Amino acid sequence: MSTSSDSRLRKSQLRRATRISLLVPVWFLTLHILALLLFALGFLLSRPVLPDIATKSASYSSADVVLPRAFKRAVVVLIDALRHDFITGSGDWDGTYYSNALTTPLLLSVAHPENAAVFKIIADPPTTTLQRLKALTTGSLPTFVDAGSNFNGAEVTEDSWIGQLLSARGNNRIAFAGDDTWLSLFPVLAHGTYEGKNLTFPYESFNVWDLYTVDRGVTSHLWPLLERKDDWDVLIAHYLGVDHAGHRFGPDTPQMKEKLLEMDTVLKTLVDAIKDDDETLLVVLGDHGMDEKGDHGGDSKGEVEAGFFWYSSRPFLATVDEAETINQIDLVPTLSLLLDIPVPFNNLGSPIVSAMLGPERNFQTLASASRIVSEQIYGYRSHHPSFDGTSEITELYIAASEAWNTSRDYVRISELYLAFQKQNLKACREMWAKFDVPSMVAGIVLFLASVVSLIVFYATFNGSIECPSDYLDLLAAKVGRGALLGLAVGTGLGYLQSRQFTAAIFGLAMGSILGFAKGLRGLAGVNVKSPLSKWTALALLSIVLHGILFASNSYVVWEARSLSFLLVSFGFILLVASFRLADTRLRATAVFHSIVFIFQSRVAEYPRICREEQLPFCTSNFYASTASSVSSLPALVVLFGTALAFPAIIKSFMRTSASYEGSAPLWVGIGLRVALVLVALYWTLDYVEADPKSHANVEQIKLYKYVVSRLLFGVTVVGAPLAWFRGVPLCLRVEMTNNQEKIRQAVQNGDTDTASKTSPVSVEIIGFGNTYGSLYVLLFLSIFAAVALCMKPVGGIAMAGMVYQILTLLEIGDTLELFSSSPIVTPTIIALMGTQYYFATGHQATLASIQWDVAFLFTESIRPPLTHIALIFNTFGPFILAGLAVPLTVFYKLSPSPRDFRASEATMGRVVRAGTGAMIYGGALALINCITTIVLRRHLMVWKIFAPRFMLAGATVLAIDVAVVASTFFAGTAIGAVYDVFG
Amino acid sequence: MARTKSAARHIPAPSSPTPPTAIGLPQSAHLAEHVITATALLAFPFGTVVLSSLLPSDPIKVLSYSLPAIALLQSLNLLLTSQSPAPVAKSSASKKKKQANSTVSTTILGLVLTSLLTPVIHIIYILFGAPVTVSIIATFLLSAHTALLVLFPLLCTVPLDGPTWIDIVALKAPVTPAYTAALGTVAGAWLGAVPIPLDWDREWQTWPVTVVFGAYVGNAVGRVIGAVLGGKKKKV
Repeated sequence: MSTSSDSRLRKSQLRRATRISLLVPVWFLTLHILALLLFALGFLLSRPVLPDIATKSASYSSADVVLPRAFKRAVVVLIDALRHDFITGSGDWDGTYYSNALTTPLLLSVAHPENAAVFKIIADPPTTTLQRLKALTTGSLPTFVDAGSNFNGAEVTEDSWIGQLLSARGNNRIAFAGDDTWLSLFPVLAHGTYEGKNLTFPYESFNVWDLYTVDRGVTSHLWPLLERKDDWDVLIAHYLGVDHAGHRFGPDTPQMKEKLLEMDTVLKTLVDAIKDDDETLLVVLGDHGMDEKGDHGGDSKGEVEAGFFWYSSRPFLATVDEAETINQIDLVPTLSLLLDIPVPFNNLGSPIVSAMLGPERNFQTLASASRIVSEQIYGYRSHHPSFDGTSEITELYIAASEAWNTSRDYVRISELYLAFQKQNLKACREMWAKFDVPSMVAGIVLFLASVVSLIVFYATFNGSIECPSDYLDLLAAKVGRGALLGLAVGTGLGYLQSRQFTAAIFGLAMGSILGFAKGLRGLAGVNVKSPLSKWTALALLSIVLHGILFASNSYVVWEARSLSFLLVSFGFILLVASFRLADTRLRATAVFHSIVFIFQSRVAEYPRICREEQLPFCTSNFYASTASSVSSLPALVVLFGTALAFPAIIKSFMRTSASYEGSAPLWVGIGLRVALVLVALYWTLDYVEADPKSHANVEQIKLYKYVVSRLLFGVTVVGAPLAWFRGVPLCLRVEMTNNQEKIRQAVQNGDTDTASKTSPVSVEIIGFGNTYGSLYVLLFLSIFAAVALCMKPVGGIAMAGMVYQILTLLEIGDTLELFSSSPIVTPTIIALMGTQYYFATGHQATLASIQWDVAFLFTESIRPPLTHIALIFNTFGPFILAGLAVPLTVFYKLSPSPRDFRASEATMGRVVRAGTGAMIYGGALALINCITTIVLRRHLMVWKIFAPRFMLAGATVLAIDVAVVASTFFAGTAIGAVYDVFG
Repeated sequence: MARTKSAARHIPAPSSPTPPTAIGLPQSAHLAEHVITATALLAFPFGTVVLSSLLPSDPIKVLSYSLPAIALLQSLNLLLTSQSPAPVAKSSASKKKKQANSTVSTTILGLVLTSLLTPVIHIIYILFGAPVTVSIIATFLLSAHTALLVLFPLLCTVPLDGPTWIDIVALKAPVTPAYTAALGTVAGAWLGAVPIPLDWDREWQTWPVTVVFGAYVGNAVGRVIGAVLGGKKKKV
């Protein structure tokens, strides 16, 4: 028996062991963050967005400035994916369906060169509609991620001609019909009314397979709007049919010809409608082109070359050859000048020369326009953090301004100003549209080094280490010293190459890894026992098989089904292994659970939200219908069923080790059940609130909703875990048997041997065999309930399914002794299940699939911690649960060794080792993803498919790492609590 | 209670009796036999795909028309290669006739069992991701073909008792051409599913063409490997 001071010492030693163990996942988490940072800095082109709004500069009122006569109105017709060669049919039919169909623009521009013109405009990649619309309205170069984008993602917060027009001409005088993407970019458009009459007619852009609904709708609203032309200043019409025809059938098809002929009729009628109105400018353009298959998103010639046509019954164009390429963003300053509004603050485009010269070919107008736009660009540059004070480009501007002040040579002044604008645009493109390959490579090298370190750590940190915490302590010092040294060297070398930041990060991380390697070498007695067990090889193979999916866009698109295929295959391997068991009863158990695992893996693929690329081979079933984000009534019913049945499943698993004792009946049978019923109640209230047919008081329901969600959150994330940390009764029952009778009988029978050996009272501890597991699972279930709350109903059901599948896998692992033969395989597969269930909770590897509406789960407005927790739990819930489940692979059916301090410390070491399994999955997956991404960075689908998948892989590794850190800490607490009782 | 588990795991199963197939015929003839069967079976997918390209355009038709032919081919192969497990000491005419009768009845029984087990294979395909509500006929025909390739030869050549079949599922059964052909079929069908998601828009990517193809190729490869390996083991 240990004395009380001795036991206190042991306790503090155990706490130290937990603290030191935490260093391992924390270190790997840091490495992964740094590697991701380096890769993302090189790959995810980002651009800081300035919120400033332009005003008319002093130059506008200067006497020398002559601007072109402004139009009162403009009609902007955007034909999605109108490729340049769709409107420039040369007259000779070249055998394609698309040429010579849309002929009105070219015919008009040839007949009336001062009234109409057709040319090619170059769109900047990414050639996706959202980014193009931003560019077409702000004149900037939107990248994949616009830093400073607000919470709702899409809304344009930059200055744009839409905003300028609204503030210059009074509110809400913009008429709109077409793709509803405009409304997410400019929510203000939704209020387009004039004298009470509606001016806004949005259409969903979701269904790519529908060629007609949007276009017919737009056309039907266009004619009445044209008749009410005094009600609006700008009329925007956005047609989608050509784009959809391209996606579905391709450009060179009869369907495309039909679509283009329809557009031709629309344009003809439009031109007719404004031919007596010299105050209206008609602009027709494509936001991007399409490749030969009809898709877009990349930077191939067909995708970036869009068609452009403009017309007015008033002559406004000089008949010059537009020798220079015209950029899509050039439309922004041009339109601003032609509508007499300030040029948007962030604009980088130049005025279009022919329109500025006008039919009189007045170079003073061109010079004035160029000056105004240059002033705006210069103002932008001086506000923007990315440009430093003096550079060659600034000198160009100063030279041009000097020429303006000193001479009247407007041709030269125009040239100087336009040269400044051109150089500026070139510099911006280089800055924002070029991958930083060295940084990406540095990220990959770091990922590779961290994954290798993880595997080495896993291989060396095995049972042969006598005292895990001393071992880790020694390593930690080396790692820390290496990191500092690396930081110093990296910063120094980076200074020479003016790459301080990248080099410093890289040096820091690599230094720590080298320190780790050095520490390992210095340690004696470390031996790698088994080279590679069969199950470990299988775990690594699973990661690689998942990873190579990233090499093809098709597999990324169909990842959920591919993963289900992999998990089912793994299930069949488990089944084969189960059949190898010699013991009949064990074999039956293992076979049963393996079959359950196989079915679970298949069913997990069923709940889904289809991404655009999966259509028409996929039907979403996550919500009530494919075109809504409202939960269905059957889902709610099943959610209630799950709430009642799920605790029974947990109970049945705990029963297998007789640990449904102590805290368990209260915690699982009542607590969990009530919590899950409340989850279902919350989503029922949400359903009633969203139902337009219900007559309930919305405000009141909202109040009830928040009461339920906050109460549940408080209990599951704060209350229950706090209670758990303070110490809840273990899931045990002590059974005492009085043996007096037995002894007496033995004495009577003369069996003195039995009589002396039997103690008068025997104590049996029911549930002893799963002491650790049953304690840890309580906390796990509490956090599970919180995650389930943050999921939509189907997602909540899926989460319950995930926990069920994890328990099934643990049961198989226990029967097949996977935990001891390969501590890595179960954590890896659980982490893989995390990705599978990510898809099952209504997510996809797209930004659009983020369920933003759960931000308002707890509060009516955005409140920092709660909003973010709801979104994080909703998006990464499966990964969090996977990471938290890792210690269960050690604890499941693990009985304590009473009065054995060393055993408790060794258990902690095993938890750390199991954690590396999940981290190897996350790290290796991110590594493979980064490699495929750098190889495919010029792929057509890079922004639509690979970039979002990279972001998911990055988020996955971080979510898993953080969850492993938390789970290691929780596991340490659990070990301490068990040691308190049995130590 | 403490964890209840038997300490002894992974006890090697008692080696099952030598399979009946590999007895009697001289080794070289045996191998040739299997190569011929493999070639004949391979002729089906290659013949249809390469020569007439009929399978991709109408897989259901091809799969259903060829099903009896494949059944016949497999039965012939079994009838020709299989012998009764107990070596016949004296080959009297009556005994030979009796033996032939029993082989024929085994084959018929095997066919019946195979067709009864086809729905199980169908379910396994669904578990691996085959559509549940659409293409049912295609999946079922695929299952029938798979059953003929995997189960039928095993059902006819392996005794129908628990331990033997547990060994077969546990991948512990002795190497015979029928067994390796079955394993090859499974592996081939598994690999056959790989190209389906690719966006190449090829006709042959229609369900279940690639899986049929993979299954047949896997079967042929497995059969030849089994014939070679099985022979080697006998020599040692």
